[in-house]
Amino acid sequence: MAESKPAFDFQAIWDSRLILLKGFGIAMFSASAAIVLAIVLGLIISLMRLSRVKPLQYFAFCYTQLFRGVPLYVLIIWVYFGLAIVANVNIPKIPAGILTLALLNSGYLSETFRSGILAVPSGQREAGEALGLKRREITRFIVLPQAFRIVVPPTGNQFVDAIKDSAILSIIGVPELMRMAQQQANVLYRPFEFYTVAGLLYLLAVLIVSKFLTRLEQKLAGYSKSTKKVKPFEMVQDTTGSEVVA
Amino acid sequence: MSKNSINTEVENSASPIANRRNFIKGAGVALGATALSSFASPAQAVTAPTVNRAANATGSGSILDKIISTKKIRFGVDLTFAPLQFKTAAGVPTGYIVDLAKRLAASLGATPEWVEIPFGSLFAGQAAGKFDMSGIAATIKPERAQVVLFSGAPAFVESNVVLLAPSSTIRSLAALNSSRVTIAVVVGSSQEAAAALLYPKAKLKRLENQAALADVAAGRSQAMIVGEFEVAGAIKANKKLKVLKVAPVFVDENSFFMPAGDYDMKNYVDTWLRYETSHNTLAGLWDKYVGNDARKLGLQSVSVKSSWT
Repeated sequence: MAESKPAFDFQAIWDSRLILLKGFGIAMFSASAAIVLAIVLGLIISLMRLSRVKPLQYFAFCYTQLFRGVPLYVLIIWVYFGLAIVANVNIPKIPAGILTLALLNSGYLSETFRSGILAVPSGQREAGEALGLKRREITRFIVLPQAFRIVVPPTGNQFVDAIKDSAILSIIGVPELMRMAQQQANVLYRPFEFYTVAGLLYLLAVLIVSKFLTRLEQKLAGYSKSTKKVKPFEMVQDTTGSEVVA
Repeated sequence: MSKNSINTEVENSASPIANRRNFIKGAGVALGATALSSFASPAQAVTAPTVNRAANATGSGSILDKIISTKKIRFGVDLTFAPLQFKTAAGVPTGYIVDLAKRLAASLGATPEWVEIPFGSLFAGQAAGKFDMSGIAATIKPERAQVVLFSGAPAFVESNVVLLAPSSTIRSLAALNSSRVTIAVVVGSSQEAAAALLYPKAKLKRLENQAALADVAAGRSQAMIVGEFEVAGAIKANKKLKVLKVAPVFVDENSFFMPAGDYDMKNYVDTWLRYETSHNTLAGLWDKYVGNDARKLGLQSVSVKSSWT
């Protein structure tokens, strides 16, 4: 009787490790490039939304609703195939994937940044005005630095989403982790092993990003683990044995 | 004065508020049109042949001229279907149809470039001009022929057979047509369309390829209809799977496709395929990659051969 293969054959994974790691690298690169572009776009859109110029406000509103409202699947089909068919704009697949992820995430980040800017107490702006600073200077030197601390955690969450969303770039053939896992699973007939490892690699990436963001948040909050915590009031005994407040 | 009458007055005047509303309406219409076009474009890519011709990689000229002048040919491929089209461990494209595509490129004095796109997006990719022509063969279906131009000569014929679950007691094709039988089929495939017509009483489970195989291996579906080329690999990975050793359920003709309307290229590919068929190139490659393994499993495997020999 022929010997059947074990239920889980991780030798196939080991043999495909370079292919999977290359896919992992492309997934991380795509998500990172997309989030950087999304931060820039999101900041511009949030400032347009807060602008006093009405057309800019309307444009920013429409932009946010469009890219938050259209599913990623549709957006990527539109950017990669639609633009080529309708406008003869032929974007290669990795840039198309990055652009799509950036557009989607910028829609969410623009709202994150807007709420972050609005969360800065109005007294800060008034103080700037009292010092004779111009509106642009107040935004640049007073509001944005404080808003930055507020928006770091939700921006980090958006980055985590972008990492996982990069899996959908496989539908236009971007050779990222999910596409590589799919390819190897189809060729070697080991879907459970390949998708499990792909899942673990995404989890690893998310854990690393989360750790980095926690540190960044701590740094921005002025927190240092090396700082000794001192109780505000400490009861000690004096030479007579009676307790006094030190 | 009612709220409505206020609105009417404001809208009738040319005030800034009215302009703002008009702007919002305009923006809404523009947004709607954009959203609609974003949803409609992929569908149009599949249904409107006129769009495809306009989006031909070379505009109005034939890709044949472009390939000959640039000495490069961009093939659209999905390299996840061993042994027809896949990559070696070193990442080199190979397989029955890939070897054929390489020979086609060589006959034109061109170097092949492989543009990898999942199979489901290949037709949209052709319409969008992402590649010159397919480097793999697809089943010649009338609805596909509305958006791309298939070669008139088959690159291979695909016998569709039945894989059975380990505990299955099915012994004939007729036994599949029962309400107690669940048949796994690949969603969107010709097998799905055929199973619905041939076995109307059976329950169909529409899944992705690997999920369908796993479903049968686990015994959740009693049978799966697959192309013969996939059987050897599936049984190698799941030795408990069985093949129903009867005549094929049906046979599909598969061939290369190119931009709709490019009859110069089609004429070349037709001629080249007929020539290679008559010289038994297709039959030799088929046996190397598919036929020999399929016949070892007791399957009928038919290669494309000249009818004159």
